[in-house]
Amino acid sequence: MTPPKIKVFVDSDVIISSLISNRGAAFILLHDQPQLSLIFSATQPEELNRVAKRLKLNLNKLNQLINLKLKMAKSKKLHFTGTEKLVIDPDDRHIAAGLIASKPRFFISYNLKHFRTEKIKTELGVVCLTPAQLLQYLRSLN
Amino acid sequence: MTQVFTPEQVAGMLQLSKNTVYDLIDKGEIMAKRFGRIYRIPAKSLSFIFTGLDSDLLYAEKEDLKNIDAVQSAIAKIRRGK
Repeated sequence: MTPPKIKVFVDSDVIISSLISNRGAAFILLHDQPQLSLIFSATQPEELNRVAKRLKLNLNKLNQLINLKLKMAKSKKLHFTGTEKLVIDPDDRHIAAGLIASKPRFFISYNLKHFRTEKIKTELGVVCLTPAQLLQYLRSLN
Repeated sequence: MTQVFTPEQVAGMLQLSKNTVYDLIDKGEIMAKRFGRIYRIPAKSLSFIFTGLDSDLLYAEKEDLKNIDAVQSAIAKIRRGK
């Protein structure tokens, strides 16, 4: 029997990084880990498109990635109540709202210093890691 | 110059027996260079001890970090509505 997939919420910096280099941990995480269910929030596609345009990245590659590899968190309407205590930068509240809505096991970001990772762990039960740290964890399961 | 360790030093760092370290060298889990009857282990092979990441994953993370400032700056501007 196939074990259930591990639910992982992915921050935008990880998704964008995977478009820049195919040798980076973000690319490996998003392309080569079939045991993961990769989730993002309803507000991220627009944000990702704007960031990709600003950085002159290939929008087709971004949209392929969004359509083929990522699943949107079930709750399309984000609720921001309680998000302020999970972030240091209030501009990141939509990511915290996505975490609350999707209830993943892991939150993956290169920007963990902007999140209250201990609170996210104790209040939501979500472990916050960088892409390489999650890949290291996955190795320990094999 | 690359720092190197003896199997005994690595056994101490990893809290393993010397024989286990030799077994790990035999299995290829720790990369070492053999000079006659002695082994030397480069610090790079022990990436996990120093960074919590295997050397290939450390490399992969560094690859992403080359561009992360530009990525995060672009995201921050958009999140701030600029």
